Amino acid sequence: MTSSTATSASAESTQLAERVVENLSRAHHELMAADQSVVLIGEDLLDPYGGAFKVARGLSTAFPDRVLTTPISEAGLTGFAAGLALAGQRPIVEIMFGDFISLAFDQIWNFLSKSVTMYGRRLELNAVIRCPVGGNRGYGATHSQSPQKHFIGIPDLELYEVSPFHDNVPLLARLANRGNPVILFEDKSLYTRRMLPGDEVSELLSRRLLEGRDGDGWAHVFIDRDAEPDVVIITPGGLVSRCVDAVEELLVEHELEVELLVPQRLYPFDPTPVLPILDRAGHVVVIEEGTGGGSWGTEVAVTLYEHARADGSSGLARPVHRLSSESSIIPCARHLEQQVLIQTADIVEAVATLAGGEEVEHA
Amino acid sequence: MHEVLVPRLNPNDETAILVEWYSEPGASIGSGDAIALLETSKASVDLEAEAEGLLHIVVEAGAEPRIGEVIAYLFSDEAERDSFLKQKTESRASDTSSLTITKKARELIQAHGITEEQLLGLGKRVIKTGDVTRLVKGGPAAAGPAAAGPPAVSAGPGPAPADKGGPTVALSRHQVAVGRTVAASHREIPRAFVAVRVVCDALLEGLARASASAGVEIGLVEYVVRACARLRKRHQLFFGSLLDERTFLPAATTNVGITLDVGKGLFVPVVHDVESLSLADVARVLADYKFKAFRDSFAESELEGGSISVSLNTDADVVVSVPVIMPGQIAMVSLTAVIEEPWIADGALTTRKVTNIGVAYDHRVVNGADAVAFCKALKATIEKPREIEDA
Repeated sequence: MTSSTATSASAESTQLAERVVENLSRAHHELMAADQSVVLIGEDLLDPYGGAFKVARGLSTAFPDRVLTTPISEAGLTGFAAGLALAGQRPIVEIMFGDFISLAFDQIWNFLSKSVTMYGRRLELNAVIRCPVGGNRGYGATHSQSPQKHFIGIPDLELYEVSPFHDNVPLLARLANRGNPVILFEDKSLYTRRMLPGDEVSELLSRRLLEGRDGDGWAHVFIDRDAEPDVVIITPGGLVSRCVDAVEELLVEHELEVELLVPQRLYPFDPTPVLPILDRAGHVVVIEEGTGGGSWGTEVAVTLYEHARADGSSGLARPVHRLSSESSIIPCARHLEQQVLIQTADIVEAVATLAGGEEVEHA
Repeated sequence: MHEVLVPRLNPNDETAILVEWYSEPGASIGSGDAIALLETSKASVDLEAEAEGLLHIVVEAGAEPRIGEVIAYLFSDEAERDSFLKQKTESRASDTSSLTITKKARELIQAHGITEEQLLGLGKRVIKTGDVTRLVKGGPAAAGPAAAGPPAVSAGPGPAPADKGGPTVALSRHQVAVGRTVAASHREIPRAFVAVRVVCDALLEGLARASASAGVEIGLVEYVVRACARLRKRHQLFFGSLLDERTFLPAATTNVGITLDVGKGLFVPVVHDVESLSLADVARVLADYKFKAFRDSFAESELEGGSISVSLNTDADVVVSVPVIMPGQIAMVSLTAVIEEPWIADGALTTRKVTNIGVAYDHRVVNGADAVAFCKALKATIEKPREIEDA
């Protein structure tokens, strides 16, 4: 019998990166161990269940006095957290499904964020509201939405989104000491995927991290760092895998060089660290999973407009294009859901049309 | 040769960790044997062999293959394995797998007979049209003979350029399985079809009342499934299997398959022993099946044992649908949309609800007259609903 010739190529990759949910969970464990004032509040958090998406797994066992499982009342539990924040604690709120953050809107808008400034002098106040968002899991119209846009522009409220490029351990510690409340959006489709901690995103793509003000970073994903990209995509963390697939397909099928920029902080939106990259781009596209209209994509486009240049060659001199999901409720059946929510194929088609993928170098 | 693929274990994971191989490479595997342990973000699952053969491992334990990736092969004997591996080694020797080559560049490379050495000589990771054009135009090192000739000729007698009709689409495993079933039906069963027009106002009103009192939605579909049990005694040739040219095996119970497609692919789960079920029971089973079709979570036993099936194409405006008969059965009933039409009753214009109900049948077993009789019997139970039972 001949011996096996099985390849060992895959054996090298035995050291797998953490799943995003494991990384988030570890961030909570490390932060709660280091800081006695951190309290986690939400629905169904206790072990063995450990929260709907298992981010809280093990926390109620390790910190029984500081994990509070509550009745189903987003307004109640968020108001309770706001009171704790006012009294100097560092509450973290887990909204089970981001769709139900609407029930806590009044507490966030009229109490939590206003408390920073409405008592006559600035009051440092720390609270993190964690908010699972997004679809592509067949959960239907009221468990799949992306409500980011409803929180843009509220004074003293900052918005962040989890990305596979950015370690949540330092991020969560930073947000819990931010001095004002923050919402951390977590795309549900990311939870089971792996973090991308290294410089290699795929065989084709590399990434680097750019530092912004206050430690708010960006990830920059590129094929060839020195190239002048045909298109630069700006997108939150939740769309990374769809965009990475689109970038690869756009290169191979359409010979377009496309780069990605992924900010940690969605709002306030500060493009300063990436302006040189946008300046080299042919076109700039903003992609989000939520519906269009008064959205994060709109905010990005308008902010970039303030940096627009008069000369005609730069990405900042051309219109910023926005892609979002269809203006529709999100169906439960997967094939219909995919027609409504933005997918890799939609990104490829839109970018190829925009950048004229047919232009090839003819000598 | 049988490919061992990573199955889709839940809707949220695109990969699974290959924790452990239970057998050594070269081991003889039986169909149904557990051969490996896979772990998703939710659970660990034993992977069972779908065929027997000699195990040849492609992906080692510890790796995280994608759903649908080939992780091993099962060969019927050593000779098959050795020839497969030899072929694979040869094809590997002649590809430029370290390079990413765009589609357009690849076409140019084929048309101009550019060599692998020339491409590697560029020292680039990504090869685009511009790179190939420069090679063709003949940088000093690149003046191969192929570059001189007209491209169409120098391409040689090899296969036609790929992607002639644009990109291809790989069918899902589930659709491939559906394809096998319908192709077998098409090969073996000489099918004919007949449909009748059925007025269903009275039934629908009765069913609305029954639904309200039973607390479960009972519609035309549920009623037809239940009615099959009443039809079996007098139309037994529509319920059962053809064993050979001369022998028909009647079914012992009424087991009704029903076509369900909620975006996860087509399933035909079976409502077993309909005689023993009330209308409300049938409705509950079907509600459960719709949920399972959505979650792709049928047990094997729920998909087996049908003696007749019902095909649903009840979207608005569907007027006729000729189903494919399940191999091993004789007939498939076809339900389409209920449509409102104008009608004159006692000299006054009014409306009524009608639908077309048909049956596709194996013409080796029954003939047109039998099929019409079957349809008329079904029509009668709908137009004069005797009992909308104790739902």
